[in-house]
Amino acid sequence: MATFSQTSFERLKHACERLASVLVAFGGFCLVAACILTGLSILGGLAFKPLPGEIELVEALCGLAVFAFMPFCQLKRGHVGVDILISAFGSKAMNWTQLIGDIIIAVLIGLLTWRHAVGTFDKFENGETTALLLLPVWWGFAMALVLMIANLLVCLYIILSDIREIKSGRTIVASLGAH
Amino acid sequence: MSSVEIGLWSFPVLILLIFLRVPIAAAMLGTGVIGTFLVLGKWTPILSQLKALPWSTNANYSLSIIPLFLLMGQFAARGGMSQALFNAAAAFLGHRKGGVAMAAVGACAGFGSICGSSLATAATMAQVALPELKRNGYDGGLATATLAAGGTLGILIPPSVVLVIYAILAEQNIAKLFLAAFVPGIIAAISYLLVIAIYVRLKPESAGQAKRIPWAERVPALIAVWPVVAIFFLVVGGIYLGWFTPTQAAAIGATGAGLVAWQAGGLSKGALFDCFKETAVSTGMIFFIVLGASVFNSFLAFSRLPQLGAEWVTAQGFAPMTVLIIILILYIIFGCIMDSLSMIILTIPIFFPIVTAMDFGLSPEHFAIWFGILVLMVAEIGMITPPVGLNLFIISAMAKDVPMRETYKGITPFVTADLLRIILLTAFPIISIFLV
Repeated sequence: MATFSQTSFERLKHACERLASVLVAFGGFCLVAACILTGLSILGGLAFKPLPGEIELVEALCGLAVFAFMPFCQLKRGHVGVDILISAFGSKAMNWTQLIGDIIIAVLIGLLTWRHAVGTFDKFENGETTALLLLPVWWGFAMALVLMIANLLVCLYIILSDIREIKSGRTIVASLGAH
Repeated sequence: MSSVEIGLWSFPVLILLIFLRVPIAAAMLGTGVIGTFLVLGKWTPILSQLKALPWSTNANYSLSIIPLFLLMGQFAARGGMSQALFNAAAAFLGHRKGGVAMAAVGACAGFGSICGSSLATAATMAQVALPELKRNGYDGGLATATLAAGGTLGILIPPSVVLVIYAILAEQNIAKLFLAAFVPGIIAAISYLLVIAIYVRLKPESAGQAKRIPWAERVPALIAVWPVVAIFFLVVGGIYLGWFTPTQAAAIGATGAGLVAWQAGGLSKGALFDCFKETAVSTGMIFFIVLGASVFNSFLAFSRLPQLGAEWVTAQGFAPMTVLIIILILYIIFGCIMDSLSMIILTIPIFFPIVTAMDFGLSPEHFAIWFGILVLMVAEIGMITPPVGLNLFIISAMAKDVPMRETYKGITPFVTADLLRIILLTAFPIISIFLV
């Protein structure tokens, strides 16, 4: 974007990449923690009894991991689409549709973040807790909210990045998709 | 416009958005949000639905299995198990006609038994097998096609991310689906071996021959794959025997694969981070699709379209088999142009009620399992059919010296074998359900 000088855009780029990487590491460790917890619970079950609330903790840890992975997925433009029609119109059409797609994602993530923030407040107000461990549900919601805001920031950065690439005439590289 | 008409109109809109390259998840989410507003005439219901949806989708114990299985596949890829599997398979098959390619398929099948993802299997095995195939004088197209097709054994042989997602959407038992997938998966592996055997007999110049390995080397090569066998029995056996829930089994599998990778020196700090990154992109993509699809499908439910659609299809008195075949053909066509996982997440909630309402002469549970296996097969074929076969892309990206055209040519006999297998499994449901 015109208002961004080279250096301030580069700084933004580094900040977003760093943010996404740190969150990937955080999410990865949440998954590892879920694995260890499951292992302990099974061993505990063999010896004595399973950890109480294993399911609640594992699903919360895995859930946080998913939230933490979202910014990196968007940074890599990892949300798959169907390229077959537009690719026939060349790289210019690909770039513009990429930008439109990324704007739509940003709007939707913005909507989800807003609603999730309201949801977090609801959970805080009504004091809902998990069934077994009686942990306040809003804790998980609040952590997820922070991660969703990070995702929204990356979505906005990606729009800027798309615009820059289009201006400079490069082709925007998207991920293949996965599984 | 009536609710049903809004429901009907949402499809052209959704398809248009998807063809304009709006990511599939975003297209479903956006169409679902606006559609719900149009059907109900106010914003409040959809806005309040979205308050808890991100959390209830992402932090959902039965869906927690997905990141864990993906992480397990990443760890497995770095544990040297792909090399051990290839060595073992090559020790037994390498000296035959087309034997090195057969060994690649065998190793893919072995890797598929501890990895639930097609792309990860293809990419991991290609690293090991592509250089070997080249060294032994195999045609570029045969080599890339073998690995692209072999990679699909990653989802065909349990554990399988596609089956997990089907099980969740259709509310079926994951253990039974895994068991049911076993024989069709083995049939797939054998059919690929046959394809290679025929291919190299028709075109003898396309493959060289490796030398025979003595038994003294075969036995240690076979013993070296014990971690794969151990993890497979712990995960798939553990689920089947009821020792673990599927999510627990995935966590154990990830732990086991992680320990093997760590012990083999494959999990330096950088490699661990790479595992997390690969897991992150796949996980992010899948969960955003699941969220988008759940909003879209709840909109469709408000519009009452699936219910009326199912009633309409039943009232027309179509033969159940005709409907099933039409659905499978649609899947194969759509699988050619779109990501097969998104296709399934989008369509199962629509098609499943339609086909369940019909009488195929099977119990509801057996029918759901059989249909799940067929869905798995058509999803799999989408991974290797041009123009948009992700396995073809990933292998081509790794074998830069082989032109894409050669790969497309090489994949044709494998796709033919897949189509024959789908016909076989459609005609004889017993193959899919006799173990269950």
